[in-house]
Amino acid sequence: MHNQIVAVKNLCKTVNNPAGSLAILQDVDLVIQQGEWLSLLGPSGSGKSTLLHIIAGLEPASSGSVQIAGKELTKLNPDERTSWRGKKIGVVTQSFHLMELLSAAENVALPLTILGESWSRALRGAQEMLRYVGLGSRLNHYPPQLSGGEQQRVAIARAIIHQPMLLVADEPTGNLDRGNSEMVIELFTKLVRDYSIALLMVTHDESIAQRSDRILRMRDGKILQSISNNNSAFADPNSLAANSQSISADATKLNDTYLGNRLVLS
Amino acid sequence: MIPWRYSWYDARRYFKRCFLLISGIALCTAFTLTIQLSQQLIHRGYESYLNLGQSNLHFRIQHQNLEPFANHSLDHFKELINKNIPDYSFSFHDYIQRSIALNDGKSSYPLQLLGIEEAIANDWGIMDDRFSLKKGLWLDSKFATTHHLHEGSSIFIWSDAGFYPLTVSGLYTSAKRLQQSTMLFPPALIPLNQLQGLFHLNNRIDFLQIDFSSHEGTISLSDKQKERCAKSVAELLPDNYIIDTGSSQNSISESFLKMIDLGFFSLGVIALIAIFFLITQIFWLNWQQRKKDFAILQLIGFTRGQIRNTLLREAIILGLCGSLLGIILTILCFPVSIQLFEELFQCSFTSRIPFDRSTYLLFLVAVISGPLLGWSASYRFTRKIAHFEILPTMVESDSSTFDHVPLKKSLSYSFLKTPLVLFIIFTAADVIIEMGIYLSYIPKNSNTMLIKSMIYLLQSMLFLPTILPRIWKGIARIGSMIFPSRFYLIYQQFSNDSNQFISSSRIIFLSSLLLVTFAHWLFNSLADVKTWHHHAIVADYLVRSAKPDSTLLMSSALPESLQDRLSLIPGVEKIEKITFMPMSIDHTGILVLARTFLDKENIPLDLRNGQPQEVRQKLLEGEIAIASPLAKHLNKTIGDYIELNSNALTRKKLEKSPVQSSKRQFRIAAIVNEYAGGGNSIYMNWEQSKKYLSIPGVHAFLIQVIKPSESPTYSQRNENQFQQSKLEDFCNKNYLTLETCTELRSQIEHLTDQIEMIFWWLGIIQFLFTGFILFNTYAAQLPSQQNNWTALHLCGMRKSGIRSMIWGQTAIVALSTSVIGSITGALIAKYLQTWVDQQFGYQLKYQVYPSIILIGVLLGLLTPLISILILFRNRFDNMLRTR
Repeated sequence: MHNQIVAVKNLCKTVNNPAGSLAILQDVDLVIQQGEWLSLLGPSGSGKSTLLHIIAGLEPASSGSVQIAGKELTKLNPDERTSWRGKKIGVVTQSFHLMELLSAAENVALPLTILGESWSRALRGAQEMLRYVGLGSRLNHYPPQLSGGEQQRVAIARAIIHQPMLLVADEPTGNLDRGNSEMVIELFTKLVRDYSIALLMVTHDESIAQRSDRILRMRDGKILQSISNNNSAFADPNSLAANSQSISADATKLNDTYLGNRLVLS
Repeated sequence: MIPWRYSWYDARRYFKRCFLLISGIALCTAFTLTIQLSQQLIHRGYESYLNLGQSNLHFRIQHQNLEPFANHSLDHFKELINKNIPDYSFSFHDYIQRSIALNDGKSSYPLQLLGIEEAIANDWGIMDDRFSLKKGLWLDSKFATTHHLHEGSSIFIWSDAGFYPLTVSGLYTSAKRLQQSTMLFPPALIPLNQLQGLFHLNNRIDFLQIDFSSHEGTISLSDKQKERCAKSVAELLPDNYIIDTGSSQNSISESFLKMIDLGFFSLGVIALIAIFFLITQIFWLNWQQRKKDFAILQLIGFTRGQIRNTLLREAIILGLCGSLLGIILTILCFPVSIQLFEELFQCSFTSRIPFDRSTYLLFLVAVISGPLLGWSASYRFTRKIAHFEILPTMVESDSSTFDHVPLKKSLSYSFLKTPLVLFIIFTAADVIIEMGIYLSYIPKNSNTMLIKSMIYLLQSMLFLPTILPRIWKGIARIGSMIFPSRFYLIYQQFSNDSNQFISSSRIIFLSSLLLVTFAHWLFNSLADVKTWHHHAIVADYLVRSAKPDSTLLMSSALPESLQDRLSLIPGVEKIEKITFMPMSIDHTGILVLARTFLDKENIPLDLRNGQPQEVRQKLLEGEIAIASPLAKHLNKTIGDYIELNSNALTRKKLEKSPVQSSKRQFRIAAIVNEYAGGGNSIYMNWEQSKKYLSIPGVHAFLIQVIKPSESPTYSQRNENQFQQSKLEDFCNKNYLTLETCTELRSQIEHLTDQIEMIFWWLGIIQFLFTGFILFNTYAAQLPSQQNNWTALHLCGMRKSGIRSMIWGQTAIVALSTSVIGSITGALIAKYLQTWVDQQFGYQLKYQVYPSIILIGVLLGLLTPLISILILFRNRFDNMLRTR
């Protein structure tokens, strides 16, 4: 039995604007197990990034429950959410968000200092991690001196240096070419395999999504469909029963198939 | 906590910003410290000069009207004090102090001559070492060296008792504390009996100095002990005798000191406000440039508290570095500023910083205040981290989802905090006050004027974020009729980034406002001084014993009989006399200017109201003209009576017929604008003064010469063919000082010109600093517009087109802001001046200077344009390429 890393229940996110209130997420339920790789697919404005941000503790929910590694995020204030993120969650974004004034190793070392590590120990850990992601020769390079793929690998190393239980990635290959994208995805696969990290990834790329354990399709703030990879150890019996066909099923057809927004995923 | 390394790297990489922060704080610290130290130095210098011969363990006994001591009473005092106050040991010194003019054959100098007993001179606080005064005249060695005098030099002195040749018997070294004073003319010493003989003051004693110590010979006594001792002595004194425990010698000088203190205090306050504004602005830049960094730090798990603490930590360190650098700058540059003061005020200071307890305390305060200012300015922005989630706006992926964030932020504002509402409230308050004044419900007094000027300032500050962006957009709309695409883009820029434009407009606004306000206040004041001296100084020549020194101590008076000799000189048409007498009214020190009013048509006074002939007649009958600040202070007007306490009665009269009551009432005939004596002055007819107050001679003879032809103007009179050489010969022979009124006027004009020049230099420095801040503000702001420019460039717009667009938007912001800032400055200056006038009793004619407003607008326009020009010179191409 795998441990539940993420457990989202009845999650809603509503914002007010001059035209009235706008529901960005509506009653979303979601569970991610340890070592599971879950991909979120959907058109722009479907709420996938909001969901990811709420799970990463970057944004508060309007209602519902979000448990990350046993901690109820909705009951935490922004600082407590940030602290929890610093301990248990790694974040990778499309734009890398590296500190340009720090070298690759220093960028990666930063999260360890939050946990109280000394700078020298944190740097040693960062160097090891950079070697792990294949950047052993780029330790002292600064972000502008690295290619997009390398920068993203630094960002990934920074996201996993403190051994988080959950890694959230918001379109991590959005700014990369095919070769670099492949390299990054390989790295994610390796991470999930080596460290048993739960990975939640927002992507527009079907081919990348196919390599994950499960795919969630979203539209208008609701989860339309959950598809499990047949080979995955995290196959969802319910969703498998509903969708016995392969994950390469036509996306447009899937979007038309509304499965309800209270889908139990595990 | 975020590692120190991050802060260090940030400082290294963004060195310019750190340099701006540190240098900003350092310059501001140095500026404030210089002001404070100058104030200390000038205050101390004048105080030690004024308290000459006084020290902590001395006090002086004198008759309240400066009557001389009767011998029997003097001995009686000494015996009484020794007998009745057994706790202390006393020693007594009799002395006389006289103002004299010393002439070395080349120039004349006003001096205080101390006739003292054969006592040890260091008892008088003049010397540090023990020194027994021997026979003859003794001069300060520094003074003697400066004026090429030495032992055996022949000199001449004028006093109100006559003219005497003397020989310098010796030189003494003055006490260190006096060497650090502003003394241009330290006292000359002479044995008491010699002075009595010289001036025919048989056995006369004016003052009794009492030195005291504990029986154990303790030199230092606590303030309480000293106070107790002085009180015990005061209780034993007979009527009419007073004890002077070392306060300044006359309250006019005291008020002069107060003016200096007030002036420096005001400068200090203005500097502090400017410093806080500048530092806040620099920290705002810091915040703007690093917002993305903060978002990334939050992304990887640093809490807002940790980020805030890092920023505050940095602010404290930068503040500390800045204030330390400021102290070093002060130590290096202070002598230069003191030299400037010396040049400006024609006085002498020591060029060293007075390293004593209060200076160290001042440095300590500077060391603490730098980090404190940095911390408080930074805290203002770091609070934003605590209140708003900055991260969602910074994470760029799918940012459309987070469009609600600014909206949420704006909704969190409470209704009353909205600048627009506040602007409307203040405008309504302004209208109500105006209506109240119009309907006479609200008095048009100084407080109302002050409130109005504050309302104007607040209104204009609120006007910037509320109304100004709408004006910009309006201008852009109008401009789009001529250049549709470019001005539409400018319009969009104003709509989307109004906050950025407002921040730069605040800087321009404050610069224009400060320049115009200060310039109007200064130029109106100087114009009034010019009007005053054109009215007051009407003669061709002045004959004096010496030029008075800058500490307001008079030069010695000349005998009245000199007038007869002067009138014998060919070409002299008219001689008027003027005498300055320190007196008091209700314990307020004032200066009585006793003068003759020979001209039947004109009166040499800047009258506020009344006919010159009428006023002259009243003055001749014994009434007085009072300076407006004094009239305000005493709450008196024309027709009221004031009671003069003549504590300057002359010894001549006293010797002949000692006056029992020295108080006399005088009726006010006119109120005049007058700057002499700090505005605490009254004019009297010379003959009436002689009759009632006993004038101690004449301080200046004002000579008018015969003109070959009738020349109506003053300057033409000076160009006549009068045989000036004859007057010069007379003065040279008699060791007198001859000044032409043109010289006197040109001295005043030179002083006002120098003040104006210093002001313009300060204005230029202010705008250089403004340009520096604007440059950095733009450097922080413009990258956010780079996407737009690149897009325009990709669409085919030429670089020159993009440049002109940026120039256009900058010009719109700068011009509108500087116009509003300059007009507000002129308005605020008017109300502030009305407030100051009403507070102190002056009545300056306020005049708006369109040229100053124009300069304010032009500088406000040019400074941002030049900043942009410099910024783009190297970077514009890169800015487009990098995106």
